[in-house]
Amino acid sequence: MSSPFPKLGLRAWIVVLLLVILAAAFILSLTLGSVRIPPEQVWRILTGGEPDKASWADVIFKFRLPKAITALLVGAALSAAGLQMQTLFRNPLADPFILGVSSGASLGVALVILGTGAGSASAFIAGLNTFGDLSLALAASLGAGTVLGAVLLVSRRVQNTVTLLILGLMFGYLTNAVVSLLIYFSQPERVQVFSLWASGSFGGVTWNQMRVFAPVAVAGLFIGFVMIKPLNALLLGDDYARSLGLNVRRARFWIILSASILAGVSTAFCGPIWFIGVAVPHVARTLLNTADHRALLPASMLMGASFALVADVIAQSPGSQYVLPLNVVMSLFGVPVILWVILRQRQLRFS
Amino acid sequence: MLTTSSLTIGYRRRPIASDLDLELRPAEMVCLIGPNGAGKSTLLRTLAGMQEPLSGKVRLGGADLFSIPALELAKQLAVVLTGRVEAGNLSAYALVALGRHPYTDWLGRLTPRDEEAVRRAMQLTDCEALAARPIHELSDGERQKVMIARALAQILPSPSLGEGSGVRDTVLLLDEPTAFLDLPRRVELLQLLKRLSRETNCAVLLSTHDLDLALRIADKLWLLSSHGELHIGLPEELALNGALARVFQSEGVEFDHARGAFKVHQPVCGPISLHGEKDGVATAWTWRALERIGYEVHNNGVRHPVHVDVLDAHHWRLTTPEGQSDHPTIASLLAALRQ
Amino acid sequence: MLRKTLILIVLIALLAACAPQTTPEVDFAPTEIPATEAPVAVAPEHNLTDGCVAEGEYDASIDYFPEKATLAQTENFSIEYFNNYKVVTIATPYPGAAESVEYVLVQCGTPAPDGFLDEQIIEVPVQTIVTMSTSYLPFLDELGLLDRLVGLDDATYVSNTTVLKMAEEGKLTMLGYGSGVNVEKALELAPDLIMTYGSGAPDYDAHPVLIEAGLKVALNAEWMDTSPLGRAEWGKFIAAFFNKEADAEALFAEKARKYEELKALAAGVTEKPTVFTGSAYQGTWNVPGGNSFAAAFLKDAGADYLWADDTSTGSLPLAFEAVFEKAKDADYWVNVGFFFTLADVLTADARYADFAAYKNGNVWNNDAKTSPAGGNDYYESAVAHPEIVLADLIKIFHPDLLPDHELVYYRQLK
Repeated sequence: MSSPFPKLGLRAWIVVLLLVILAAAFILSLTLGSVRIPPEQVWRILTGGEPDKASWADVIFKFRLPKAITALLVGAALSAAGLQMQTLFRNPLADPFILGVSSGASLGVALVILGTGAGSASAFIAGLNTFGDLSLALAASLGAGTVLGAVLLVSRRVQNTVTLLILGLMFGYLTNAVVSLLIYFSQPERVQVFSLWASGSFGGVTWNQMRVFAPVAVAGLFIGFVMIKPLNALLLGDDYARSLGLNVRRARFWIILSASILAGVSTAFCGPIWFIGVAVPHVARTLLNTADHRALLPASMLMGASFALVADVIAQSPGSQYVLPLNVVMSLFGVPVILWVILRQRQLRFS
Repeated sequence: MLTTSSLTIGYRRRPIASDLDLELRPAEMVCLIGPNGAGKSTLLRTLAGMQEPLSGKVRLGGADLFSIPALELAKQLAVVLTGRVEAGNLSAYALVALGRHPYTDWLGRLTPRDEEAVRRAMQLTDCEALAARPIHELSDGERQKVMIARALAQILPSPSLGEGSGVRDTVLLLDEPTAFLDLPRRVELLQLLKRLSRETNCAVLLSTHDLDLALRIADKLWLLSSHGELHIGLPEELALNGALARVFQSEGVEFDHARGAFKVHQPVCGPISLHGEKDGVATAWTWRALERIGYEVHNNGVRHPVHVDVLDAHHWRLTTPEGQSDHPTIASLLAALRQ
Repeated sequence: MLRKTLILIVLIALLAACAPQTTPEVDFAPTEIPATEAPVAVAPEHNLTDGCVAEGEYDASIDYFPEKATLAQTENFSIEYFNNYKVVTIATPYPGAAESVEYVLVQCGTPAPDGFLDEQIIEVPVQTIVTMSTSYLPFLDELGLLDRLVGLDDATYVSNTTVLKMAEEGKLTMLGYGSGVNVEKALELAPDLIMTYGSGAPDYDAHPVLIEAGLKVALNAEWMDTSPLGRAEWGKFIAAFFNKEADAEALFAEKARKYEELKALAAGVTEKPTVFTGSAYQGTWNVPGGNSFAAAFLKDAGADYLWADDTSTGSLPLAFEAVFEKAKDADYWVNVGFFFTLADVLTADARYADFAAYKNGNVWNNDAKTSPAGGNDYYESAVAHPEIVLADLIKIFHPDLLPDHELVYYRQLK
């Protein structure tokens, strides 16, 4: 029809471009790492051939591949969650953890690592072994789930979304306070273990853990997709959304659920990872110049995945043996990128 | 047709109006007027299904409004609320397209039928040219047009594509849509709404503080007083039967039946008679000037001690007990009167 | 051998000490001169381990510390002796410390020298002590000083049975640890000395708040020592506060002798097995550096530590994949961390199964002596007995060299 009417949704060429970038980041993440493996060897390994050194095949398949997949999923998950929280609360500074989900996860982990005093070492050991490598993730999930449950329970009673936001923040502060209390009364060695968890990492997820992690993350992402239409309706505010026929309470419930599952599972398996959830949706908004979630959600997911992969490559400091804390890399390298993107547009346009 | 029976609106502690039996007919534009705080917004929100009535019923096309499933209701009743909407980066077209929410699939994709409805809505509201522009770049007037287009897109059927047999009762409710606009835009918007109600057979109800325009454009007035009385009637009827005067009188403002406007000035200088060409422009404006400086103007043939003759557009003659004087401008006339 | 000679010389010197000593470098005037009678003080034959110099008997020219400690293994602390006081200097009291710290141990009953802060001056021999680390307990035990122990930070992880019994009988006061230490209880207990350590982050440490409360605190930096014998030599540090240098010297000499013997035994081995330590956490594997404490033990035990070439004294945060690539075919995996059985290792991360050491069952952990409450004696008594740890390690790497030795701190994971 007539051309003054813009096309809605995500244009095909943008999707292709984002996928290409993602693929490149993925390959980069497989190729670069602490152990120096020549790129053609990587290719040989990926295509089923025999590498010069047998250990390299293990490095690729047992270490880098699960790590890359984790980074991809977490990047997508946190970006999607951040976008949803920003729209739901009409707040450009909202991040996936705004409802206290990551604080809940921290509390779960803190209880396991820092313990509660007598016999805590054996509890720690026993706890570790009951569920194996899933135990810490389980503790984090239980903590996150508890906070989430509290928030959802309250959300059914509360009409006003802003009230819900404040409640979520309060839950977050409360759990943070409890965690601080645990830290205060713990031995420094224990605190160090806890802060290792708190610095975030994609490398801790094995194929075994992936069996739980991947499906949950994908489920959360799927729910996010289903929420695209309600999110768009909410762009104009609760009242208009209601007049459009949207069941605002139910939409809020599912949006919070999706975002919390995504944020919770990411934190449970990788520790709290800052910055991606807030920044990537803004980059998507600025580059695509739209507030339509049909474009923003998939774009945020793809961009977030690429960003996480690149950040991980940097954190692994390829060439040197050392590993940098992930959150440090996120901020150090992410902030200039965001500033550059936003300042180019000279204004932050937000709905 | 939107009807109410024995409707009581308000909040549990504070009922605002009770026992309302209202009727909103298709192709009719009704203006809801009344003093601040009378409860106009509450009435609108109740009629829109956004707030539960304290008692009584609201019916749309015979069915209980609050029992109609939300999506079904959305296809018949749309609102435009007061206040500026922040939707940042959305283009006008995308925002109007949001109005198709009740019709689109789970992803919100527009079918050709939806697209046609959106275009028609933008045509009707005269904002097609704004389609590609982002909302935040539009002026207040343009933005309001887009918001109305969005509401229209929500309730418009598409007769060109087969839909339209069994015309639905559609209702458009607007809460102070002219609040942020300047006068020309306000006139334009009200004219637009009137035209829309005719062309789409939609019932339009809007609340406004623009008494003057409402009196002139509305098909019907609903006048809500601060005591919860609702007076319904044609604008002229409400003026003639004194309802307008009474409602606003209690607020301390006088309504001039004859002029259809509120009295702004207190006559402190006494009576003055005016003679000039009937319906003449100069006469009318001389009348206003004399009122402005505080005279009570009479134009019925009776001559008062102080009298003004409007001889033509540049000639005024003032007759006082002291004598007579001629003035080429109103300013000099007023100056003379002040002495 | 060297140890024995030194001690012999010291003993001869002590015997020769019947003659009046020359005054030490630092000049000071005695603050009190009894008016009535000339001092009749006699130079003691041994350090005063139990009491003070009686009132009026102080003589500035007497050396009250005939038994001195000499330090050869550790580089982090030194003791300088003066007639009636000792200055113990710790070069690096905690990680990142800008300056050294000095403690002035004054023989009780004698005047303290000028020029030191009040918090540095500690009267010795100490009669009551509180320890904030289980690693000090074995030294107190072997010096026969456990009866002077009046408090701990926490009794949960203690392995020493005597101390545990004392705790059970309520003879010990628990003060808590870190910055959450119970200062009021400490003040009430009023011990002569509280011995603790600095973690490098003063906000989390106990000693700043305790010192501020006016209590006497001594920082013990043995945990920073990277040499096994050096760490054990800190027994002399503890002994100095009780004037028990003689016992400490003797005990240490014996341990050092045994250690050197074992070290020489392992040095003669031609085939050194490769070894790696630790485990991964969240994708990061903290590997002890080449000059670290753990590496020193492995080297002395005749093993080829895969990161021996590295020069750092702390841990290296490496990527799991980097450790895997280097240690995949290593012979032994020791000090694995919080794992009970081989199955535990696997459930923590399936990738450990690809290590040759795992496949061959050559996985050893240093938690054989763990109390029911979870206290690992490796971090307690093993500090005082590096020779036993070394024997354990040699037994693991070269079983034929020590056929009669039975493992004390180490066990094989099954």
